[in-house]
Amino acid sequence: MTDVETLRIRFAYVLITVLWANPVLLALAGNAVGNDNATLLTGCGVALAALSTLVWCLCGTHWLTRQVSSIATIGQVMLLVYAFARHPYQADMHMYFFAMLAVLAGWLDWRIFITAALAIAAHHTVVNIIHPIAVFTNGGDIDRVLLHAAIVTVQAAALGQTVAYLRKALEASEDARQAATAARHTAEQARHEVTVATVQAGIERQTVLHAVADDFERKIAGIARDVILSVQTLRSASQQMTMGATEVAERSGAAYLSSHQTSSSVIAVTQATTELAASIGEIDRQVSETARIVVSTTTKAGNVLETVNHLSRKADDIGNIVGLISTIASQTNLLALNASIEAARFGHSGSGFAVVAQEVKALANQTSQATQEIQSQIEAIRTSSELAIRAIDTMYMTIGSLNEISAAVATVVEQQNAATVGIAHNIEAAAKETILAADNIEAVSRVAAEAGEAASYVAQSADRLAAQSAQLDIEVAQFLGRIRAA
Amino acid sequence: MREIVFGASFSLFVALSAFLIAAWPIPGRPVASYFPPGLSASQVAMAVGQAGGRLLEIGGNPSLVISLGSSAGYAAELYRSGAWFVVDASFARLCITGSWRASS
Repeated sequence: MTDVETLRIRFAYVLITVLWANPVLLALAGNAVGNDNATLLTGCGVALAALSTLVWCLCGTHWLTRQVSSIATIGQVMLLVYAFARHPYQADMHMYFFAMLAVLAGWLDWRIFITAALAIAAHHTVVNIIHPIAVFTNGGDIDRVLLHAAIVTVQAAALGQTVAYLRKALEASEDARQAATAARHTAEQARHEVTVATVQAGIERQTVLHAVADDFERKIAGIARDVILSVQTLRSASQQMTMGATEVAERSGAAYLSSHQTSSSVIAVTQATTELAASIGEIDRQVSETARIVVSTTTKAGNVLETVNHLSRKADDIGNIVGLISTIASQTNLLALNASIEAARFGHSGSGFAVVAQEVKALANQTSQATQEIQSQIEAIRTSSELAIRAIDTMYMTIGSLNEISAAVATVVEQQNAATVGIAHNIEAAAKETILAADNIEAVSRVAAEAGEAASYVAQSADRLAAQSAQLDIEVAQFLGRIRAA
Repeated sequence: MREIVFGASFSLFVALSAFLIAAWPIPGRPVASYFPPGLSASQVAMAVGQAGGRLLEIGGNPSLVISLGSSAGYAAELYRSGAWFVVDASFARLCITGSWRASS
């Protein structure tokens, strides 16, 4: 807001007060002078004050308010002059026009003097011609009207020029003050900008340092974490290597022992295989001997069969003889019977002979019984011979089967012998491989021991690396702390 | 420029208003009444009588007369009786004088 506007705002209150004071003055003057239209004049003065106040409330210090309020003020003066109609002071009340024109200078607007002067001139001219008593006490006087018009013109021109110069001076002063204020603001702004730039530079420097420190810390921290993780991984790997090497050494030792035991077992198996081959040879020999014995037994069985057949034929011969003896015994018994009959005929003399006949008969009966027993024994011999023959036949069949079995056994023994030889060869090769494996296992055990030592050395290196990483972390933290504090 | 034009117009309006206020009829004092042209003097006198006034002067043109009424609403009664324009008698001094001079 400019100084002109400020002054106009303040002046508006003054003029509104004057506008509302004039109706009071109109009422007082009208009643004092005894004007018949005092009430109407007062009402019109109030109407002009109200109109100006309304425009002021609506438009503020706008040019419309300035024009309306200025002309309303002049109008109130016109009414006041009319209120003094036919009064000696009427001509003096024209001075109030000049007073109000001077008051209107407070608007700092030269244009209002043109319109105000125009209003005064129009009023004087028209009323002087048509109703002169409303203007001058003694009626129309064009010369006085012209004189008043000249005075009003001079005053309006002087006031207008003064107001115009005053306004220009105020505006120039305000411009100068605004320029000074702007220059001061510019200087303050420049100083503020310098300060802000300095602070900003410091902040940016600090920000850059912090950013660099944060970035460095982040990268170093990332590397340190990677190193720690790598060290941990390396340590665990070395521990696993150590454990693996130890286990490999233990297992290779156990394998070495197992290999030695296997070699011993293979040697024992080789010996057993040799003994088995010898046993198989012995079995072959025994089988051959058995075959030979079987052949001999077969021959002997043939002889026995022939003997038994001969014995059977002899038994048949004995049976024939026994039959002959039995026939003889029957003839003898028949003779004894005839002798007894003859003895009986001779009576008592023949009793002795009857006893002999009785004895011969008893002998014949005993002979018959003996022959029957012999016959039964011969039958028993014949039966036994037949049984022997069948037994020998069976034995022949058994021997044939035994020969076949012996041949099959011989074949199997030969196969077993060949297999035993192959087993012996394989076992010998296995023994050689076992010895070679034992050598390799021994080498593996030695390498495992070396790997265990290397793993232990790696674990120690990992520990030293972890310690160095922690020390590096501490050094980096101290370095970053110094950078951030800078 | 518009400010000056507006101010000049408003100035004329205020001056005219002041003029009309100055010419406002005052009860108990003579008033000048302007009736429609074409009325005869007798018709105008009858209208003034209806309004309750007394005829003081009649110019060369019977439409313009000066009368006097005792009532406060005499001017309004004149308007009801057919007058077009009622002002203080001093306002019509020139017209009456001119018409008198023209008629004499």
